[in-house]
Amino acid sequence: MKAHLRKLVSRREFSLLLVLVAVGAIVQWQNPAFLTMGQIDSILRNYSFMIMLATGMLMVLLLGGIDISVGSTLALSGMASALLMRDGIITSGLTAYLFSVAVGAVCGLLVGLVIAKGKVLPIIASLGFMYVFRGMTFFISDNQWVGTRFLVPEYLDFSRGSTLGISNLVWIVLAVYILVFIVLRWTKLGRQIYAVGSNPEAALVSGIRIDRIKLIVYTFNGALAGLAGAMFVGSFASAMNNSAMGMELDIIAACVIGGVSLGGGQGSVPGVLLGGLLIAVLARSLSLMGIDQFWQQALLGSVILLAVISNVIMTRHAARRSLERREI
Amino acid sequence: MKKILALLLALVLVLTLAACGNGGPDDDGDLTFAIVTKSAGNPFMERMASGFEAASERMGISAVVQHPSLITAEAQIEVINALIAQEVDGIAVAANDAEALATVLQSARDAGIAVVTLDSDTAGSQMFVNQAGVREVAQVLVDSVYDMTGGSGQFAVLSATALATNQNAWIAAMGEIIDEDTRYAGLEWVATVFGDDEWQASTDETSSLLASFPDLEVIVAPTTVGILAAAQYVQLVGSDVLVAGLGLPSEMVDVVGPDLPTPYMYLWNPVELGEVAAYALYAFVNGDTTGAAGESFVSQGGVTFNVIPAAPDLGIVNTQIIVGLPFRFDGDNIEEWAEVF
Repeated sequence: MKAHLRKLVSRREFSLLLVLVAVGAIVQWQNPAFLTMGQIDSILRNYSFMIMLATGMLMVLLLGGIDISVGSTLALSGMASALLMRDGIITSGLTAYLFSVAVGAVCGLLVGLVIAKGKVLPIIASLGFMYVFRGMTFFISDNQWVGTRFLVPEYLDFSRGSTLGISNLVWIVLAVYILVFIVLRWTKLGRQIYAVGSNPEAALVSGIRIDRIKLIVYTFNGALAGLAGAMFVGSFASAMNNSAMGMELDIIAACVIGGVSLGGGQGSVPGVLLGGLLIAVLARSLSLMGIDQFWQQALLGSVILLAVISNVIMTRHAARRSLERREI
Repeated sequence: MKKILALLLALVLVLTLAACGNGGPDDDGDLTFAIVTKSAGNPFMERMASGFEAASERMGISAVVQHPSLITAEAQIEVINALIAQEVDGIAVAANDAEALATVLQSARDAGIAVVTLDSDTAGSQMFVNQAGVREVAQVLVDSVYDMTGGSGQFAVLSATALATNQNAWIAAMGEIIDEDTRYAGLEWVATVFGDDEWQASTDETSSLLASFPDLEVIVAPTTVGILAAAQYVQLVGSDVLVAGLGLPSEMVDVVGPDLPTPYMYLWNPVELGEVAAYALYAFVNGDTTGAAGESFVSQGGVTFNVIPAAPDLGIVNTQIIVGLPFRFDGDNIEEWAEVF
């Protein structure tokens, strides 16, 4: 029992949880309006896209890759489905969601093809696609917004509605987290992803088809961005062509805070969830505490740095401890 | 066969050019004014041009409307060069760049053509036709708050970025107006927050305002993204806080009206803006004004305009006239204007 407890406490997720609780306590002390059901649900739904996309980014980062095109993919797929709703081609909420997911999957597949088959560095390939997808968003929308009146009411009702007192968007995020958790923990694909990321040569030798894994992961990441696109447009009840600009940075920050290694092979679903929650809570709480606009970003950045530094120290400490144990 | 086809095509081309030449302005003493918009396919610009056209025609002046194919200064320079060659008498331009048009506009003026800017100013023009003055915008914002709170109560401002010059100018002017007039003594300005013209950030700030100030009555957002995000959020959570500010009718149509988050909002009227630009050109051609600050002239529409100094910190490099009060959109006219822009 004691050993279990020690193992739990030494885990990175536990320290993150402590930070989250500490931040929550400080904000609650400063502004008692923080810890209410409505406020928490509002934070979760406003950051549902970022928190959800962190799971896709986790898988990409586990492979040793990166994808900074997801913000543009989100905007493109959301806009594409909004335009079809405006033109009366999509008439049901489910079709809107599915179409957006499909557009996102195609975007992700393209990124994956260039990275896996074209052997282009992931950051370069996804940087290129970030601009391509954003440009296409402006192009297909003719630089216009798609307003609320053009969107299917059923689609809006679902995206803005809630079930059992929790926003539908938050339920979607929860489902995605459970799915990714299961895949990474208990499936062959999940073990292969970890294998490719921690030692590509060994993975290749052992017969893992690395290209295929890459294609699957980038396509899944794109499909998630497409899903987030439908959620984004539905939640804000308007499709704008500059939506989610720069969101990829928040997503990567959430992963890094959650203990995902940019070198590949290291990272967990609970860690990413906590990282995403911490960013969301921080972003909202800085404005809840009435902190000056100019300070908010600097503070956010400092917290990210602190989290990462503490993570590095803890990882080293843990590695040394396990080495020591092994020598004995 | 190919040769014949080429000949035919060449013939068609010549005839088309000739036809164009016939349609161009001539020098028999009648005036011709031209308006150069920012680009084709922009509904706001279309309405502005139609106002310009209508006012010109009412004055017995023929009007040329030019929408550049691209939203660039280069495309506008091409169009303006063509207008100089056509010897028009006045050009109104909504500049795509603050500097790049200076040379071509100067050559237009050297050719004796009157030049005004509207919508956005640029160096080289004789006067800027300003859609709405800073003070006027601030006044309608303060009056919206006064009206929506019922004369007293808490309100907060949700702006764009903390560095946006026009929003900051409006917000500063709101402060002056409230301080100067005891009528507004009951208004309590609890916060000014910045949503960066982003959905998520604007929603965050709105949510924080509602949570931090339970007695908040009005959020005023002088920015099109902010007002929409705030109105959407207020509607989503079923709060009875009202949202005032400046918004695009086509975006706001679902949240503007009685019993909706935004009872009414403001923006400028593009038609009137185009009309006043035509009147200003006429005042120059007719010698009613030289465009110097301190002058005033009566427009052909019967309105007196005072020429006021430039405001370089707001991007206004020429002397300016203010078109009028911002235009009010409410439940009665929003549907109609939503079709416009």
